[in-house]
Amino acid sequence: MAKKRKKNKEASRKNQPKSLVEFKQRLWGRKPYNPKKVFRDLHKYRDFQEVRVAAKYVENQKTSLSHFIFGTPFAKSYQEICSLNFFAYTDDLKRDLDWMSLSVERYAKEISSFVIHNLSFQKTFLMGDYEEASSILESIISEFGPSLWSLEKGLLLAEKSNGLESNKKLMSQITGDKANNIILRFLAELMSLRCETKLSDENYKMRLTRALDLGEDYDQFKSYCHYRLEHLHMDIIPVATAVTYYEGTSSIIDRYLTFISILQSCAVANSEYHNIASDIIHRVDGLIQDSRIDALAQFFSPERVLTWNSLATDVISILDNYTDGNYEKSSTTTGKFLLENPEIFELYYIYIRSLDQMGKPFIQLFPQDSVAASILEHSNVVLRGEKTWRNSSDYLAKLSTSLWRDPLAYRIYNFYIQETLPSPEKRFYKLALLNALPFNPRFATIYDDSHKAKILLDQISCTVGEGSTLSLIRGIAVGSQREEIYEFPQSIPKIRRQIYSAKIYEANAKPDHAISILEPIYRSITKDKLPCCVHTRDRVTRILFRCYLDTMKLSECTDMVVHSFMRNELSTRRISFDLLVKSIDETTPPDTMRKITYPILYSIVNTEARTVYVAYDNFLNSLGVNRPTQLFDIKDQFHTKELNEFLFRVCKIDVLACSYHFCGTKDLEKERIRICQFLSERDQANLKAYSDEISTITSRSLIRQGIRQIHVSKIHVDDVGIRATGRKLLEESFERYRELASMSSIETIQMLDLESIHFYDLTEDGELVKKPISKLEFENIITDKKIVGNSLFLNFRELFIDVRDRFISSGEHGLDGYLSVRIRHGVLQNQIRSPFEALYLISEKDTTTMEYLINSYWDTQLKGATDEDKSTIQSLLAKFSSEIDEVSQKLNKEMIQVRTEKKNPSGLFNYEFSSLELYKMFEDEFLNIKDFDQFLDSILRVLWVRTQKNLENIREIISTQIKDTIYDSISRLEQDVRKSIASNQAAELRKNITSCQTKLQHTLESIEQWFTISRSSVIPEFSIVDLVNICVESINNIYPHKKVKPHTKFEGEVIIDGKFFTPFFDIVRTLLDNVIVHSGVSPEEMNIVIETKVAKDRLTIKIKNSLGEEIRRSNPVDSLKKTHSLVNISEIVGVIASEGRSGLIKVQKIMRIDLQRNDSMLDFAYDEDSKFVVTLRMEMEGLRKCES
Amino acid sequence: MRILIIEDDTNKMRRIANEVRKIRKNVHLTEVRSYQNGVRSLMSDQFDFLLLDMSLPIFDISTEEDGFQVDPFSGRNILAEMNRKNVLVPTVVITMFETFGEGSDLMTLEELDKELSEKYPLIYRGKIYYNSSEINWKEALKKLFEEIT
Repeated sequence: MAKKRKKNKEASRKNQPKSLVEFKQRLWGRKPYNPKKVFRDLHKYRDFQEVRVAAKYVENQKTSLSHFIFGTPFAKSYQEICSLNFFAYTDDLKRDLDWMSLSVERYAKEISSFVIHNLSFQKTFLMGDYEEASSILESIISEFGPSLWSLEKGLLLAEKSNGLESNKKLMSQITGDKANNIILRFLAELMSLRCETKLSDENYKMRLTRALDLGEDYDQFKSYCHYRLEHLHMDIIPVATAVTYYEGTSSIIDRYLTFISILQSCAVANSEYHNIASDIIHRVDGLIQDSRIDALAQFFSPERVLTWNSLATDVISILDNYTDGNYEKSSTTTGKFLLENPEIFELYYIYIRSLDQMGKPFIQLFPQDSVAASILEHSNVVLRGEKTWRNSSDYLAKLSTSLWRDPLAYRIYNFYIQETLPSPEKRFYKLALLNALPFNPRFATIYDDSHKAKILLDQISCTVGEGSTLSLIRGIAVGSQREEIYEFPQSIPKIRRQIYSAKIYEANAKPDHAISILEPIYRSITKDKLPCCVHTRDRVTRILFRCYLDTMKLSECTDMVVHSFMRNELSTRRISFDLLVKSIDETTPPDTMRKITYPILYSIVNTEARTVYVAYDNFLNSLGVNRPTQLFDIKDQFHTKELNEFLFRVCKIDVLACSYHFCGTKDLEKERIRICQFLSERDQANLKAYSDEISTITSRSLIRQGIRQIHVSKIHVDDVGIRATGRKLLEESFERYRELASMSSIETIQMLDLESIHFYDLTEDGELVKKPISKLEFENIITDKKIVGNSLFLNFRELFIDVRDRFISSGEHGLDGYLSVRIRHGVLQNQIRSPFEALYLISEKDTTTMEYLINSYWDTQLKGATDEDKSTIQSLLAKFSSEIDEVSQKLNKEMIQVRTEKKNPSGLFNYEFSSLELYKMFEDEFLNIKDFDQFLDSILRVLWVRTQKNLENIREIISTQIKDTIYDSISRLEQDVRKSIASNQAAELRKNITSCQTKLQHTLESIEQWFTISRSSVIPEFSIVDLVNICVESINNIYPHKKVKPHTKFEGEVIIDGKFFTPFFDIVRTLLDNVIVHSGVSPEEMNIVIETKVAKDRLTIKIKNSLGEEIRRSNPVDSLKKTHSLVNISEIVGVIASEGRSGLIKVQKIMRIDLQRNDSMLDFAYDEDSKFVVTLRMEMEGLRKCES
Repeated sequence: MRILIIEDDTNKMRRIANEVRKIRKNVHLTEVRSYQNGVRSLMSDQFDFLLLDMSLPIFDISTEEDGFQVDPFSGRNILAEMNRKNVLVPTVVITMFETFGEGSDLMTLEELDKELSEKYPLIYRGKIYYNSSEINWKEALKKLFEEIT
């Protein structure tokens, strides 16, 4: 028996392929036994047939060798995920994909089963049946083991079903378990972030970039993370081998999904990758029941017999109904169908468009709060171009990122870019089709070759007949590559047939034909003679735009896009205005440049004032005018809306400033105010916008006056600008921070213990090494265990640092920008040198030799001195010059710099905050702040306090160290000169050295003054008379046709510190505004009287005015007294917010909070003439100029 | 010879004017201190030569006027206006900065020089780096004068 077995074994060995024999020899026959090396060589160097033979051998062996090829397909716990078993790094994508395909083939049955489970999960998840979705997810985990996929879906499900808290709880289970691999924990934290519903796509991307800032050593790992965590926009191919390396042995689910993603990307890439994917897909086609494999196989071989499923007939019937214009039926049947198949995203827009074509409002199909409901609702907003379009498109972008590489994600992402970008890449359209249903006739548009499209369409036609959708697609996919025009079926509505015909003419380079079809349609649409949906209108505009450009009909093109833009901004979001502008710039067509739409077009496209100005100036020149207000006299030559648009949008102050026909800032402002006043008369609908702008200009003007009056202090941070530009992201981060703070069920959210983090990366030899990460290391200073792991504090710190960085570094508003422009760029050095230059004490330097040159003045002045003496003096002056320049260089390059934890350790603008310092602040102050504005105010206050401290320090250093250093140099120079040359021969030099000390004193004092805070509202001082005059002027600018001329009576004098100007200004202007808006009479009948009195350290301001009959009957005094008696100090802020910033409450707030007048009083009464009287009183202590 | 100097720094203006007078006798110098006055002068008068600063306020700064804003590329804008209106006065940029603008607009003097040479070959004749502590700018100015005239 044994003999026979041995004989059989020998016979079998003889029949073994040579490659297997050799492989076994390498594996077992060599000493020392090193399977890792053998498998690595197999992967890296051997032919795929040899690999396949070896895989077969390993598969049949009951040894642990299997993992070298098949990895760990079914992990037992999360601890086995990302554990990076053996996978050789090759940098050869074909080799890696071949290697992966072995596992895909081996576990085809399990993968097919997973695909079915996944579909069930997706349906229940989309429909909001989270309990069922959770149970399906559990069963997938129990059958296939945990995976990155299951973690992602778990986090997403937790977030959608129970919110952020639930998401973070699950995340903490992974990140908090140190037995889990650090890569898994790292990914889990970012995946959790990606799932957060309230975190915008922009914010997520920003945080991801920050998290992946790991330094150059981690290129491979970073590439993998980008693939795992980034937007679908990313092209996988350049990083594919890093991805296969990290996923090559992971859970079979993750491996399969990555395998498919890479193949899809290869399919739509160039021919090299295309061929790789084609070979591999032919091997696995038929093994796995997955529509993505079917779609790929169909893509490579259109003649392949289509895989139909039970949905095909229904889907094609719905599409035919829509194509035939049976919108009622298509909306009803789509609605029913989608409730069963919510994953078929392409039918979402068929449903929405059906409603839109019928002019019907949106009707939700899906259960409230379900993911499908949100997708449908946001898609509707985007498709119809509604006002909240941007929010909705952001939502869809973020959702597609959160869904990672699900088929649905690709389709949503494609929809997002098709609807938002003027020229989206075709790659995404193709990827979306590869993730959709291949039996949809639209799939034929994936082919660049019309012959292939025809083969597929014929195949569909043979099975389900030549329906209207199929005919339509045949026309588009096949007709656009033919000479003769395709005849679309008559069942398709006429307007759509016309649009498609025009499109085909365009594709066949016959734009004139397309224009002749579309122009009448466009005219009818714009004159409301042809009712059509938003989608159709936008489509006509887009095709017409391209055809006008092709035929260089730039004037028509400009008119059309500007009119479309003026009608609805969103309708032109997918138009490439840049191309039109480029054509105009290149050809400078005079007929276009004479049109008013021409500068409007430039203002739509450009944010840069100079570019808009050129169009503005060309247009005005063509009319022979210099200023926009000169157009008022010829206003009838223009269409009202166009002139209004030109004046408001184009003739802004920064554009006017480029024109040399203005003689100062006041002149510019006056011109703009006149424009706004003119527009107020002509365009009542936008009156508020014009009034607001007048108000802004007036305020700015006052602020500028203030700044001029204090001779420009150079330290400035535009915190208003910081608030405005960063508000969206900061507020979003703050809300997230507050939500984390409110979580009660998790004691501490487990963030990574970053001190112990190690990542794996590759050496040049492809070996896996463990590396500590330095960039992410938590600050060593934190030893308090309470801090480590406290995610709330970490979030606070992140927010604080974000605001801090904006405060110091924001290009537009930050401190460093002002320092750079106003102080460092040559200004400081020249200022320090100036007193010495004036007295010929400083020499010039030759930058080539870096030597100071002969000071020619003294060479001629020291007439009696010997050559030796002269030479000595020149040396002394050169030395002195060098010392002075050194001081200014040091100040410039080291001291007048912004210091943070990461840069400029000698910078005197010190904004370094240790974590302990921040933690103390966090616990003492910030932890309990629940309002965003209060939170931001508090951070800015901390930063201003720090700025103040920094400035004090700098002034101190200038007045001591710098001054002393320079005086020491002067002193040395004086002594050296005295020693070197007789006093009679150097009288002038010695006199100059003495007098330079006085001049230097003034110079340093002047420099010191630069280092004071310049608040935008600061003027040094003001009187009540000034205040009232400025307020009256301001209010008359806002209401040019309701100009008031109050009678004034001023009793007693007081000079108030300029820092209180803004609050006082706000009080008086608000009171006057109330009179104009609420008195119910014309300006002539208002009879305004302003009385002020300063007596016994109290200021009283009374504003009296007449009231209209109706207003009087409502008895405003009573109602105001009641309202104001209810308000106490602590409620004021809340009342302002809840009442929409009621003017008089605001006055109370200003007096009590901004001016800190706790005893202030606001009263209402009627006087003896029945006039309405508002009286305010306040103590003056601390407000006077001399006191503060 | 009629020379226009557009320069907002008083000290630098004085030194440049002195140097020009040293290099050339019988010159008629016109000094303006802002973008607006610079363009206006160029549009209304004839000049043989322009010495142009790069960073300038829009309007002349005075106790009443803050200049509207200081544009780091005012000089470039003046050249653009000259080119657009066909005012072909030979121009040399004289600046004490080595870089201009900030963030994505940041440009070195060399980059700016290259851009201006390419865009305005009929007007732009070169750049001079000015530093009050050095003399090199004087030599460069002299050399450029010789080349142009």
